[in-house]
Amino acid sequence: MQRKPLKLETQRKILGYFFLLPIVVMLTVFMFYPIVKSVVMSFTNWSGMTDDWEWVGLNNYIRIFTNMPEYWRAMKVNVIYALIATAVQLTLGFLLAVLVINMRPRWQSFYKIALYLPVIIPAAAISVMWRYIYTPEYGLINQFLRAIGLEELCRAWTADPDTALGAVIVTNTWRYAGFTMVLYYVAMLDIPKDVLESAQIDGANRWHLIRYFYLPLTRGTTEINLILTITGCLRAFDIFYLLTSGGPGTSTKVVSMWIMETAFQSYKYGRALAMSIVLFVIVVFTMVIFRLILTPREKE
Amino acid sequence: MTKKIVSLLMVFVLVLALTACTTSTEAPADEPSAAATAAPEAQEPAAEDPAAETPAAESGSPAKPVPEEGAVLHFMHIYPEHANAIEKSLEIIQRDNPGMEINVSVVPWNEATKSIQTAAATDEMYDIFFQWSTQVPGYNDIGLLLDLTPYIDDEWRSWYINDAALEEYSDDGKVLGMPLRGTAVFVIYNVDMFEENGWEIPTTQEELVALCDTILETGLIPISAPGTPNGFQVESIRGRVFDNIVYMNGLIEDPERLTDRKTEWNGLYAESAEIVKGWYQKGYFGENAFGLGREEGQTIFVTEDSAMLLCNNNELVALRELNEAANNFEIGSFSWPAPAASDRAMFTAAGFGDGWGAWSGTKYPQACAAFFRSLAGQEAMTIWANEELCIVPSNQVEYADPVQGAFAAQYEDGGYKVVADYNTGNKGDLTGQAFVDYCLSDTMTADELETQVEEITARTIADAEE
Repeated sequence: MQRKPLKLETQRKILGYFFLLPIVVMLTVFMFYPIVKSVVMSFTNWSGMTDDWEWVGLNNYIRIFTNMPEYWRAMKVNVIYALIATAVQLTLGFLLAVLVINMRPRWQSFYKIALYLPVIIPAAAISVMWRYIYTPEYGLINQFLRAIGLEELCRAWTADPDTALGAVIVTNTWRYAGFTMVLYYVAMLDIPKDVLESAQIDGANRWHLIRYFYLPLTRGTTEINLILTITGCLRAFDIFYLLTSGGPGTSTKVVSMWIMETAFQSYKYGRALAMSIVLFVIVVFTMVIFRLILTPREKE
Repeated sequence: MTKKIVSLLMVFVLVLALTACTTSTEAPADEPSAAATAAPEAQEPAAEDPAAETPAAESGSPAKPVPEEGAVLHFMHIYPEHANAIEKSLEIIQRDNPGMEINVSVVPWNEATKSIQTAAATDEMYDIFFQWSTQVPGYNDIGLLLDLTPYIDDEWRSWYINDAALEEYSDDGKVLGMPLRGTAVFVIYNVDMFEENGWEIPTTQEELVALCDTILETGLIPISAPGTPNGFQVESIRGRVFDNIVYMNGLIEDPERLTDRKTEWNGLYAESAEIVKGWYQKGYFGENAFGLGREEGQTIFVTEDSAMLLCNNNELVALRELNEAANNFEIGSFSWPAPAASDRAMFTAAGFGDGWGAWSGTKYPQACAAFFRSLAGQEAMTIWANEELCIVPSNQVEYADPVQGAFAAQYEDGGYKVVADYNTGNKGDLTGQAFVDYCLSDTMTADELETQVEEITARTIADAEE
């Protein structure tokens, strides 16, 4: 009689592993193998076009740290972009979530969709649209400024190194604020409504609710958003490539663009892989740091 | 039970999807295995005494290439907009070479290099493919290109507008590609606007500067100059100014300069940058020049917000279409003039940057050469010149369009063009970016820019020779 439950359990286990098999195979083929191969090839002088390569040891990595000033200039652009874009996006996403969650259900549905739409629009379409918005002669921004008598504020937004990075940040925030908002919105749904109502009865205003309820009770979501946004910004490519092409000059040239040029223009695939590994390590390190900073507070 | 059946079905679909993701083509049994690998070895079959297969000409010139029997060429190009010319060219090639089969692949221009890399790495390399002339040294370094020198007979060689056309596709003394069409920057102007205002076409750089000052007073942008990416046309004009300075300083034939290895300019590079920055600061190119892309620059011109436009000759077709939809004025062109003190209008930047290469591992080297020979002939080149408005490297073409004809006349000189003998990688992007940084900076000096450019050149050379 005792054997039957064992057989059933074993059967289930085997079946479970069997169902896991396809995804494990896919992950191995399309993720783990390329990662391992990339790490290995980053120690070679592989051109990416033939199988003729030689082991060069740490040469690629040494070069990155000693003879590639443009890589670190681009990294600086990435870091500044990550810090500012994260702060703006998280703040905006949070405030939008607070607004939306306090709306009537009908309007909630409308604004959730409307604010999330930019997330699913392709980067190419967004870039084309925003390039025209930023055009100094007939772009929307400068036309509006002229219309309200603020012509002195008109700029060549993507041609001025002082404003180009800001222009990319605005575009990226417009694109992803909806994503951040949705994550916060879902977290705020878990806050018991009676708790908020009790607080309001006790005299709490909107600011008190945000400060004492919404913010602390969505800390987990803040951590997730922070990590997702910062790591995404460190790896940014599409918006920069399509909106400013890294210009003017090098003011918006990011690390991913250098990696692409090294691989496909200089035919130094091995070195490009080394650059990617360095970026990967920096991204992981950033994640670990933020996790360490934020986790102790959660334990409290 | 139902759940188990559904689950099994899902697993089956997943496995099917995995299988579908693998390559669907198998190499034919008689194709060399790992054909794109060990390119130097792959070159051996191609170079297996080709002269032995064709009768030697009495004059000592290589004989006309004769395609191998049953040759099947995989041909890649980036010109969907020139489908007409491609189709007609292929008809000519196949008429000249009966029995040759050509399979065509089209890729977007910005995917060409990646497409070649992928094809080379997966043993599905094209026999004939698009390449830019600047890619020749890099491709040669990795042994990708077929040496065409043994197949180019004297008659074929005589069709080219000048020696520079083939030299641009040469490395280590070997011809490693074929030019198709030229790209150079010209000044396009609004003929109607010039006539209305009584403006004359400038014949010297000083006259052009004076004209720009005059046009500025009308509130127009004198010259719409797309400056992105990497300085684009503004950087091209800096190059023109630089060429004139170099010529007037007697360095135009400097071997180091001609092979793009010069790393000591002694202020000449700085001088060119300073001049062009001054023009930019005066407003000759508009305040947004470094944020303008090609299409935006053209739009400013056709909406008559500027009197002139810096434009590549290959943009003429698109520009005309845009102009027809906008104000439809008459378009004229002239080349950037030299300073009055110069006794020659330098035109060293003109080259036939768009071209072709053949794979060193091809099974049909003679067929590839025959393909190129037919394409270089008068009939095919005339199609590209007069139906597609391209500037071709042929001296046998009569241009029907007067603007194109004026462009083409400038290419006849062809001397003193800088042709790097190493893989320049992204050097052009780096120096262009440095120039833009200099133009937009209040603190960076022209000498600092020159130093940066010299360092970039030195590093690129060292990198290429590693």
